[in-house]
Amino acid sequence: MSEPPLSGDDAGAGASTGSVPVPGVPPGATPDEAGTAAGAAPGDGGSADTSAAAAEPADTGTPAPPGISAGSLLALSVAAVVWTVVLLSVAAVETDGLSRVFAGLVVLVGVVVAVLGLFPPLRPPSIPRRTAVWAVVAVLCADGLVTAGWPLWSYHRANTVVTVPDWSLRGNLGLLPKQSATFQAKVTAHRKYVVITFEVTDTDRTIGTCAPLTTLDVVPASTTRPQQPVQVAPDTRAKIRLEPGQDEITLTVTVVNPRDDANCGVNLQISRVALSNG
Amino acid sequence: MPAARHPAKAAGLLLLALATACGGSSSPAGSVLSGERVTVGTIADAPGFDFDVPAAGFDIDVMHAVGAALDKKMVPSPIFYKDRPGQLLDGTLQLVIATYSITQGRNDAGIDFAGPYMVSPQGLLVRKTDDTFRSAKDVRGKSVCTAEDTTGGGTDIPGAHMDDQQPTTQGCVDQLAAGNTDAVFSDWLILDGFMHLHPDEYKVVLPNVFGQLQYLGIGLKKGHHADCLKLNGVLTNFLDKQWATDFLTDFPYAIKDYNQQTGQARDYQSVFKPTSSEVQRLSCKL
Repeated sequence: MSEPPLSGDDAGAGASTGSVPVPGVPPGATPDEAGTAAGAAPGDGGSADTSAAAAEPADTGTPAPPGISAGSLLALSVAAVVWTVVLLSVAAVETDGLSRVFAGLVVLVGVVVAVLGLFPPLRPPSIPRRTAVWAVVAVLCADGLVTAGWPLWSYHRANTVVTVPDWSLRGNLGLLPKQSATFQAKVTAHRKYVVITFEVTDTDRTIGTCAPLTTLDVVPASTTRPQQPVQVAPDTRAKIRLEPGQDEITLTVTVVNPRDDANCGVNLQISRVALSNG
Repeated sequence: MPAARHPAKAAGLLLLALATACGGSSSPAGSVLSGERVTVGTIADAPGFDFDVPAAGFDIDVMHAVGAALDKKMVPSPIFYKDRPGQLLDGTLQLVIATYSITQGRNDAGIDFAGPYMVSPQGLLVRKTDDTFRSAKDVRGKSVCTAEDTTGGGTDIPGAHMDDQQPTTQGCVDQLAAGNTDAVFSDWLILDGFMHLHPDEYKVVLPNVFGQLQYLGIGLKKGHHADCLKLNGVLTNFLDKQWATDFLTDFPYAIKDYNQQTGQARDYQSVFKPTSSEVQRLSCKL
């Protein structure tokens, strides 16, 4: 007695695979479809045999994580190395001191991890491929976060108030009305303004009162065009606009007494010099 | 147990009382204006400000204005210049209205000020027949008398001999009359007043050449900020409504004399009247 004929589904299934299932190949696929589905990646262009062979890990024999081929891992690892090196370069240029050291260490770790993903022979046998893949993915995610956060960090850096540590104030003692002192400082960061907090005290505190009534006229001495003096009332700060690219500033600070009290002497001191954008 | 709760209650009440006493009050010893009477240090040593018997002048006008505004009986207590800070600090006096200049040094010593109520340059009183005082350098080698414990007494005039100090400005004028000194250095308004007491004997020279402008205020002990602000309010009203009338009454020749001596043509208020900005910046700092 002969075998009953196979049904359509059974016939198709039996005819396509010869009864041995291949990972990644859907049941009922044609030979061409099976070859394409058996592990080919975009741009891979390999045949079914090549794709199937590529799906097999060469080092440990452990199957690759579902959905990622050796070619994909190669591409991701290259991207991770390149991206991480770019971030290293930017960090080296834009940061300094401890920030630079820390950024360099983090990036170094990222490069090492990415290289281990890139070159399986360098990877110790004890590290499974799955771990290497996820480490590369983690590096890429970290690169992505850093890249996304860099503009925010750069904006913050560009707008923080910077204290100027080195400045000089000459001729600041025993100033009578209409006399001047000279202020100088290096502009150590790109900002729109230099902000100076002056302190005014009487030269002689026993014979009258001058400081509370004194105002200061502050004029930049090192600009390309004449400027109106900035008038500073007692106990307020002087905010002087900087010119683009200005790397040092010289100011003339003139004592003003509202009644022109000719013998009203004051001493000038500075408690803080800062650079700011607002 | 009821007995155990009482000590805790007492401790809590004590803490509350201490917190109330320590927090938010600017008058650790109470207000200097709390009683019906306020003892005010005065010095009858400045024609135009406080002179004669009974006392009359601008300082007396200010004292009466404060008393009227605060509904207090102001009791004048004549003192010397050297007594001003000590008697304020030890509580003998509640206020001083006695040509008392506002200085940072007096603030440092614990004296606060309401005001100012007057501005005066400083100058020299010399014998009318002495024509040697024409410029700053003419004072070199001359003897200059000042009242002790005043800002004039603390000023150094370059090249002048300033060893002669008297308890009062009148004492220096007596020295000038006796020929024991060449000049008296003090507030210009005070010297102008002495000049007009003896117009044939003295003259005022070199206004604003030495010393600084003097801002005269009401002195009180520090730590009474609320009282100081109250006095400031009275003085602000006085400056606005009464100052000009009293000034022209007490110093009728001042601006004419000042303009004559300086060669200027200024208005008396621009020279002698404090501005609201000056009151804001100089008063009630403690």
